[in-house]
Amino acid sequence: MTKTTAPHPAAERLTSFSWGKLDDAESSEIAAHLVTCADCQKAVETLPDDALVSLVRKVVTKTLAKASTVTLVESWIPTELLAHPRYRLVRWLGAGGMGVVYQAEHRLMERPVAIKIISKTLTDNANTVARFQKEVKAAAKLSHPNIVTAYDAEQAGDLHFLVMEFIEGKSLNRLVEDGVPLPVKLACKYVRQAALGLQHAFEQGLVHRDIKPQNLMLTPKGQVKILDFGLAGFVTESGPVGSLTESGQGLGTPDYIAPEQIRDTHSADIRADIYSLGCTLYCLLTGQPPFPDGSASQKLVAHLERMPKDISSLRPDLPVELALIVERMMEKRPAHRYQNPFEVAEALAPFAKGDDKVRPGSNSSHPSKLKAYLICAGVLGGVIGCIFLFDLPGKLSPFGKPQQASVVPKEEKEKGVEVPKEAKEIGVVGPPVDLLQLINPAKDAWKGDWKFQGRALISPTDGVLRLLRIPYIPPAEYRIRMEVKRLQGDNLLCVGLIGDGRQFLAIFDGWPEKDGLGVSGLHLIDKKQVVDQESPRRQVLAMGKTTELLITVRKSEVIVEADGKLLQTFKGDFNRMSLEEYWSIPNKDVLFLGSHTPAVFQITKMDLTPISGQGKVLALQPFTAK
Amino acid sequence: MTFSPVPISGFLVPCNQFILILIVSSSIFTQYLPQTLLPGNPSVAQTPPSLLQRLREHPGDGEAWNRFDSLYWPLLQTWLRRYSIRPQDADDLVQQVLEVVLREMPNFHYDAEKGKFRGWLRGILVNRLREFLRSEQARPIATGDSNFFNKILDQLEDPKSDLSRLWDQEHDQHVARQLLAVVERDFSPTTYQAFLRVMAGDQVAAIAADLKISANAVYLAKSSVIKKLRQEMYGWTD
Repeated sequence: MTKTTAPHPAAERLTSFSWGKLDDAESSEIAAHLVTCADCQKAVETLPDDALVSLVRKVVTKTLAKASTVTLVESWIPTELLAHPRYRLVRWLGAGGMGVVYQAEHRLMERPVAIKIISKTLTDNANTVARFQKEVKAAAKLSHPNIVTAYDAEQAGDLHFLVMEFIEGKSLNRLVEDGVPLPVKLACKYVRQAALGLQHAFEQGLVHRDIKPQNLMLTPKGQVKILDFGLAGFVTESGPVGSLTESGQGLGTPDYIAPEQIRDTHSADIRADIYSLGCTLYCLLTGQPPFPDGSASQKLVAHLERMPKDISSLRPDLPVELALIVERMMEKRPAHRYQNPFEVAEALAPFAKGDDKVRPGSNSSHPSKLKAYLICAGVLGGVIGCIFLFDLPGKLSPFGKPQQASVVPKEEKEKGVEVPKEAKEIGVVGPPVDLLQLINPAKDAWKGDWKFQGRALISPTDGVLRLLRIPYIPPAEYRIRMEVKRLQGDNLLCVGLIGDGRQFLAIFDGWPEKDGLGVSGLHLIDKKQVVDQESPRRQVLAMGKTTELLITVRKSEVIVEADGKLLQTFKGDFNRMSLEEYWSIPNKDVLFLGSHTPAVFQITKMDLTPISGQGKVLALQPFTAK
Repeated sequence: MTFSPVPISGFLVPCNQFILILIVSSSIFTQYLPQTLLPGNPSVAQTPPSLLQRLREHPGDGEAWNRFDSLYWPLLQTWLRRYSIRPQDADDLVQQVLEVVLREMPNFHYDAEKGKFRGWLRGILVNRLREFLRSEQARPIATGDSNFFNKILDQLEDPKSDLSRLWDQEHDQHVARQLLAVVERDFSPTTYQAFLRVMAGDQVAAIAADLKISANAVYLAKSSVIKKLRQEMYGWTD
């Protein structure tokens, strides 16, 4: 319709157009008309929204408000690629620190691929080109279900480009974009898969150096694949050092970069990747990276010198053992971390089990079996580049035993044995110790006639203060789980604990008032009794009801919980903890139990699960004096 | 998409011709009717089905279910955490809700009376929560007051309550946001950028100048992206 005075479309049609309800032909018509007609332009701008449009408007303004400047990237197609004999370009996907990525199709095989064109400025230097080609050859050796496969490296005229596997899916950062963390099982499952991929690369002698959620793609089948779109080494050679952009290209991403990598890019080995993977896990579990605030340089300083916010405070439901795994992955000193990715995968295995929607590692690693997928080009997500370009570390790595690791049949590990519930929560550091079994009241009762009724321990009915030792020295870090039922009376049950060699108590329902409510907590902290610590009054152990008590002792921390409710957390130096004479027993290095008249308890379970270190069962002499 | 007879080219089609058109087009669309939810736009054959449509028609479509799961996990989790459900229970509950959806999806029919998908989903969530409350009677819930909880569930069940309206709003925004990201893939970054800026309220002329495209393209950008989103959201919205 090219009449000079085209009739104005009816208001209805304009509205339908604005709401996206017209078909393509009609839409084009109207758009063409609008360009020439100021009146209709005004009309369109003042049209009301329908429900969907208004919804989108809300969503868009919220999204834009969160994002930093939305950058627009150039989308030139180099002529060398337009007429390539083997590949037909389909469309532009995105751009990153190293170059631009296109979706293409192998003309004969009709297989979709991703082509990454290396930036011209980078390839102008002959050295760079040679090194790049060497890297590519190394990367092409990688063949693993958790790594995006590189198919080819090519040159078209002056242009160097990489041909890679094309993946449909989204990068992991998209899953936590709104700050809501992932379920524990999923986060661990994904990171574990990434670790397995990293292990494969490590065994080929390669390091990634840019591990982050944006570089981990999640396929629709729930498989994670590592990809890369930046060679830290390459960018520093041709660009100014410290040229970090908002999206984090350059010297690796400031959010996930390892301390040693900041100091010296080329000294980074696989343990730097483990650090980055640890930061990634932190992010998936909390919804934010370890150091979310500050400028790029401030973040670099943070990685070098500061500790991230305690993951358990951001996510209190996190199993203690898992928090420890993340911490260990993120140790400042490489020697303190896991020494190879396989160890990480093993450590995460118990937490990754049980999600039956996703089948780990079940997809074939052969590119020919992969179906055609689309890559999702996120505006903020940056490039979906697909080659996993590695750097060959300067020296042979003395840590980890890749040969040994590859001997372990990975398939078996993944199918897995049914992990008992306790181990699932704490981690497979050691089997739980049944403390009740160790007790012999005839030998171990210090005050009061403790006895067993079947498998249950019953606290005494005589005396005022009753104390019973458990002939066991706990390991450095541990968790005790107890099942207790109050049979009679008010007043306290206490558990004697050891932390950093100091003995102290966890008290439950002490100093009860007339209403039966007492105080519970740790005793003594800074020489203060529980009753002087201003804790709330409540009843933890109700009459006739079996309550589960959970006490976790770690270096510089004690957590006391009852029936899933947090009672108290102590964080600090164990030097502040002590015990009064009144409560003590002759053995200063063991666990013990106590109660106070008139309370009588039945303890049906008392297990200790080691978190770190080794506990010791003692063979002790019976108490002679009482 | 509604099928509304529109006066064609400014004049009315004669009655019998119009009826003929109707008959022809209805015979085209009846063959699609059992398979799709769309009531009869003949161009439906070319329209890729929305996620909900796929799930209804092909319950075995693993990929669609994975997308559905990852779409709803964060939303359901957020809701449960808000009411102090313990995270391990929240995980289980979300799983249960999704399993019920999987099982019952073939029975979900959108109609004006029963209401939209979000209402149906809300109903499932309430049922699961009630079951959970019953089974957890022996253990106190984090907030410690199961009565308080029951009041919340009652509200959630009532489609007219404030709580339900809040759920509806948050649900729609969440789904729209997720599906926008999907729709984005089908457009060039420039087009999508233009769309975003139009929605944000920028002037068409300014957008055209900044992005170096025609004003025509800007108008089309908004209309096409919305159109695509409408298709994706079919089943969620009317």
